[in-house]
Amino acid sequence: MGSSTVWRHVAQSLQGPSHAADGSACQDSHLVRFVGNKPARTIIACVADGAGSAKRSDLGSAVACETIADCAARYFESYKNFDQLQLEKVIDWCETTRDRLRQTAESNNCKLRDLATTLCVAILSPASSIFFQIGDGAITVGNDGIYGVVFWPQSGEYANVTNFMTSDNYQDHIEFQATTRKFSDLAMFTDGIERLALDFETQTPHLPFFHPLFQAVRNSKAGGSLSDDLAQFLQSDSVKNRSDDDKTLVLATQLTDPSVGGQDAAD
Amino acid sequence: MDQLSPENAFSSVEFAENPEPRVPCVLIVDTSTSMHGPRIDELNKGLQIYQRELMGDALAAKRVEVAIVTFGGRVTRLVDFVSATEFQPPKLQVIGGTPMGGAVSEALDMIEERKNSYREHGIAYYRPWAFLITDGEPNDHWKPVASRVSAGEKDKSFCFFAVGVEGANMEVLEELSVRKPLWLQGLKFAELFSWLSNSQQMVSRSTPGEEVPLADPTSGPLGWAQV
Repeated sequence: MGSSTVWRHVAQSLQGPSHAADGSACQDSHLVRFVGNKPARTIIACVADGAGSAKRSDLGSAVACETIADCAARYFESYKNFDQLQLEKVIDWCETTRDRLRQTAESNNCKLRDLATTLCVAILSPASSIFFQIGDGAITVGNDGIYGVVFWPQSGEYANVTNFMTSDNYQDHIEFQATTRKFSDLAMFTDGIERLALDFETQTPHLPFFHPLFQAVRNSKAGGSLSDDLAQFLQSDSVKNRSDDDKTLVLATQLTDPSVGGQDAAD
Repeated sequence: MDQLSPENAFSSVEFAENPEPRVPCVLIVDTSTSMHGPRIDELNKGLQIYQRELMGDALAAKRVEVAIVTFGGRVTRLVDFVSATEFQPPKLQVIGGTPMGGAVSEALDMIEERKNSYREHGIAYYRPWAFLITDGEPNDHWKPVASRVSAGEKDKSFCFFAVGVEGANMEVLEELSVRKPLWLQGLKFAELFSWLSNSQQMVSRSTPGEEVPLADPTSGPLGWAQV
């Protein structure tokens, strides 16, 4: 048996200053779940950004993350891995998600479009990596300090236009990537972080943004203040002055487990 | 929350420097002789207010870009697109007739050129604005540009607004603009440009999926228009 690894992760979804001022809810959501047993577990991570104009998009983004994570976990129970997962199955999950969104809309006396949300999903398992995305936000993955963006954030012609799960034609905009490559670092974020983390002219991740983030996660200790530090970082003036929007950032890194039999940190 | 303390695990994170997304706005202004006197004076004051109010908003100052096309005797690109921080409101002078069709056409060309330049440089942008102000009627061949305006509105290539100052030929403006043209109340140019600045401040901070409802320009203390 090879050396055991653990995932260490930290995540926050926080309201932007302009939304906080008018008392509305944070419209971003995230969810990180682990399946499988040691020595190598699979991470399922979702981030979703509820549309600014949709009145219950806070619910939309939360339901989308939960439903996709549930679908992925059930799939894993049946198949024991994600090595054969294909786009068709992911579309089934999206349809299940849209059904749940419709039910949620009904019980909240609103319409499906009132729950408009984007969705980014990453599943990193011992033998395969799966990614899919509808709308903006991005997934950055890498190894040994070398990072790439899986899908460039989707935008229409204009800066305030993107694609949503709740649109009838969402299948035209779903991007899907499955690979046998493995990645030890994963960052996912909503569009409130995009312009800080990505270089748009070169369409690359901004490394001076990501290196210290992953360094911090790797150096953190179980029971430490990493989560509070991330919240403080996202609410600092230097971040706020650059982006008014709600912000979600999920960071996960795979470490060689120094104490086989230990717990996944912050699991 | 203040700046991060050095103890914060994320204190050494550095940010990408991306160009701000832009909100381009071209003003198409009637400077024919009928605009002389208080009209052009109030309009000039309005431009000052517009610039001052955009500058008062940190995000809008960086994101809103202003251009001015005048039509008085001939069509002039008086100001090519500049960010609000660099915008120097000109002092408009009146002269000659009213080549409105040519001016609108010139403005729509400028919008196309600007979009191409944004795309070349990977700069994100919001839907451009074209804002026509006139107190007369065109003395040139304006009908073809009306179909260009309606095609552009249909494709969401830009938003076209028309404002008539007393004496304007409203029938022409109604043919030219898909959106209902508005009458300026008296000489409320100050209120008009405050409204324009406010609306563009809202747009400049809007996020994906967010439709920006424009404040009703016909009511409230800052109202300046009537239908």
